[in-house]
Amino acid sequence: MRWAGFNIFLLCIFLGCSSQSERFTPGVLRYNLTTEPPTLDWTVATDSASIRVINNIMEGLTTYDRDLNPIPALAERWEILDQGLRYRFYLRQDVRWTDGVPLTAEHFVYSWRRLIAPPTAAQYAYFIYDVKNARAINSGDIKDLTQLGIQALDAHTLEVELEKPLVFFPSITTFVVTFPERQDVIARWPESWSEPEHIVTLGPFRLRQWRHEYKLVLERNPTYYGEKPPLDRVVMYMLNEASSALTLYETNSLDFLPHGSVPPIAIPSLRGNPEYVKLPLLGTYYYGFNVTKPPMNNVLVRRALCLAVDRSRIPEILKGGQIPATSWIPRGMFGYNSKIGYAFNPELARRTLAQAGYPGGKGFPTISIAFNTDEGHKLVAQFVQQQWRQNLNIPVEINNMEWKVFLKELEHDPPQVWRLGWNADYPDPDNFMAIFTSESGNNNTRWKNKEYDALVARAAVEFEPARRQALYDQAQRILCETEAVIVPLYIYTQNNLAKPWVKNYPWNAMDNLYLREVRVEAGP
Amino acid sequence: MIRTFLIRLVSGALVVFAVATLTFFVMHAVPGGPFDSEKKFPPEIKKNIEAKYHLDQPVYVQYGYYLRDLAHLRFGPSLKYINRQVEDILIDTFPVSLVLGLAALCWAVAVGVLAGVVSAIRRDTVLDRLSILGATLGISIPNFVLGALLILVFSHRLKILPPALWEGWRYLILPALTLGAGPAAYLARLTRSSVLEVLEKDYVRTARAKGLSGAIVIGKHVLKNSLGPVVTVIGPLTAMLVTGSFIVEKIYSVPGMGRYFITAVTNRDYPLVMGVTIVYAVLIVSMNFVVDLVYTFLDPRIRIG
Repeated sequence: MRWAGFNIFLLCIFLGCSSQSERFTPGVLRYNLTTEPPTLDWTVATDSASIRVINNIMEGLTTYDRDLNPIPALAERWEILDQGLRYRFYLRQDVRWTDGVPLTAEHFVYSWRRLIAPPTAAQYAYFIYDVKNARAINSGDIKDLTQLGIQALDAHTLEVELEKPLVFFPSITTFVVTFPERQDVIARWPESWSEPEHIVTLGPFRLRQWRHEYKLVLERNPTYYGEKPPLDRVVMYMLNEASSALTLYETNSLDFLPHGSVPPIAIPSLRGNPEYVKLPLLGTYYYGFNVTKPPMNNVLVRRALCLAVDRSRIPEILKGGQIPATSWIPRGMFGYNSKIGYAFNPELARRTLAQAGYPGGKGFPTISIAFNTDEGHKLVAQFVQQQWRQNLNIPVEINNMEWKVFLKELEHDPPQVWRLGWNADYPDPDNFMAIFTSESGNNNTRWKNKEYDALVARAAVEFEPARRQALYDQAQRILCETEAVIVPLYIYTQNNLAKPWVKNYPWNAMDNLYLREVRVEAGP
Repeated sequence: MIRTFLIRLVSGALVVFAVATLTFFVMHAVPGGPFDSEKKFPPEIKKNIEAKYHLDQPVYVQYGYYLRDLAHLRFGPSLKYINRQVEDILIDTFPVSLVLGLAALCWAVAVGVLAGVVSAIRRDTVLDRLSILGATLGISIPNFVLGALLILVFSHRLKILPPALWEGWRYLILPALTLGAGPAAYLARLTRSSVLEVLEKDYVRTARAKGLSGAIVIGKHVLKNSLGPVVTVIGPLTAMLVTGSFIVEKIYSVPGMGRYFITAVTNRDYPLVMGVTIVYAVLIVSMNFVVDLVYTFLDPRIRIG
């Protein structure tokens, strides 16, 4: 029936009952989401498209202010108890779901238990692994979900017990996987509860239409507890071809092109355009070494390679306003220290290589840089290849692979040198520094260092900012200098285009989309 | 006739089954899995995901699950689009590709065949040269170049057609022109050579000697007898066009199924790969059967059996 219905609908469209694309209307934002959200079930969402939508139809215990500090949202306040081992959240009492049901602490308890239950198979369940018993439940060692360290003390008080104190725990509660859920709704429509006809939410907007692979429409949520958003509607198109999106933007059919939607080739011509907004992102692009493979098992070789790259030339190669970096924690995040890492010094690089046993590059084996097939990655690889050849006189090959093949290689047998990047899941340095700890699944370097592990573990529970900064400085020096395990190359930037009639957009370094305060005023 | 139809139905089903099986095992042999990502998750989570989608089972067991689903006319859940069944994705997207593909096919056949016939009849004239030039350009200009060119002219400069989106018949024109350009050019060349060959036949010379008008000779004797090769091509061409084109759908942001021929493979979304492959295989088999039926109409000497 659905098949027939859809065919009739299509025939109607093409036999004359044609609609028009959204024309400019004050109060309506036309936005390019770039791709189909794989899901709007926030427990299993992992990608940026899904998260951009969910962040506008839902809220968590906390949210971010413009400087990415966690501030109260559904929790009007919280207390830190037992030296950071327990967090008690006091929920607002005026929050209602779109079907009128009041929010209670039980909605969080259900959501977190669902997140950690093995059958849900949520990829981001590890976000709450520091909650008591979470990891044991997720691995199946504990079957009883009620053992999870979360409980509703009463209808509006929620208490979370942690395995260890965590400085950044409130930041975790801004993330979509921790948002509350309604057991009654999910039980009734287990496969389709996140479709527009069934979904219940409590954010500033509600989901009105979701035409898969094409567009999604949000409208102002009249039951929202906070100040009602100025926008009546948000139309989100899924245009994954950036040049098409730019054409629509230029013809005033779109009001906003977010990061990822502006074609890199167009960026140089956009400079000076007041509609073009360039901002740093909390993300770092880097080259990693497999420290078990010769000659990368020699720390002097690794240091020489770090010293021999003139990162200041990267922005002119990639043309996206990238910010050269020598340290790992990105600019804009607590812990950033630009003085850490090896700046370009070809003379010192040659001396260091000579100390490693390769004077003038003599006898140095051919090394290979691996990257996934992509024009930007290729440009960077060619640049680094040329830098190492020119400054160290060593033979370097570059080797591209299809994305999934590349990931498989990294997992099973990391190449000598490989590229990757990391974007912040939450704005805390732990999210970056924990990657290179010995047990991290994301540590493709095969490098293990107990001192580094201990420093990162201590920093995660250190509440005093100066002491925490010192710990991260020390850990970064081990990572980027003493052991030279990675070559940070640049900090990502985001390139956006917004029409002058789009006002009050909260630009932020996480590229989070929060539309609750955005206005669309008199247009073209 | 019914017996013949049943035999073709069974043999077609066997072909589709063979394609599906081969694709299943080739797809699973490709390195990389659907849940490999830049940000790796802990082993516990990987285990849970693999258990949920039976990816922890040997490939032959997964094949068993797959056949079971197929027997119920289901392709299973997409591994990328959570909580969405592959058949739902295809139901949402195939009709879009079908509309676009049929529009492209209609103009490609009409223009291609007409240009081929005119070119052959007016051999070595300006019309013929222009037709050959058009056909050569149509074949050699890639879709993405033609698409960009059409957007530049009709959307940017003339501002008479939308550059992308899928909101009504006006949004169909540029993608259909782009998608049909290559096939139209190919059909024009094919028709031209086929018509030229038939024009040399004795029965055409006889028809002319009898004093029949040029229009009757072309319409009744030449065209009908020269369409065989064209019809042969139109079968698979239809299947190709109505299942969508990755590039055209991407350029014009058309929400069709063509994109999945590429993205489902790069995402290692096994059920979706199988879904699009089977739809394509079914269409190829069906169109070939239709072509065989059309042969009998064009040439009564041909019998299906």
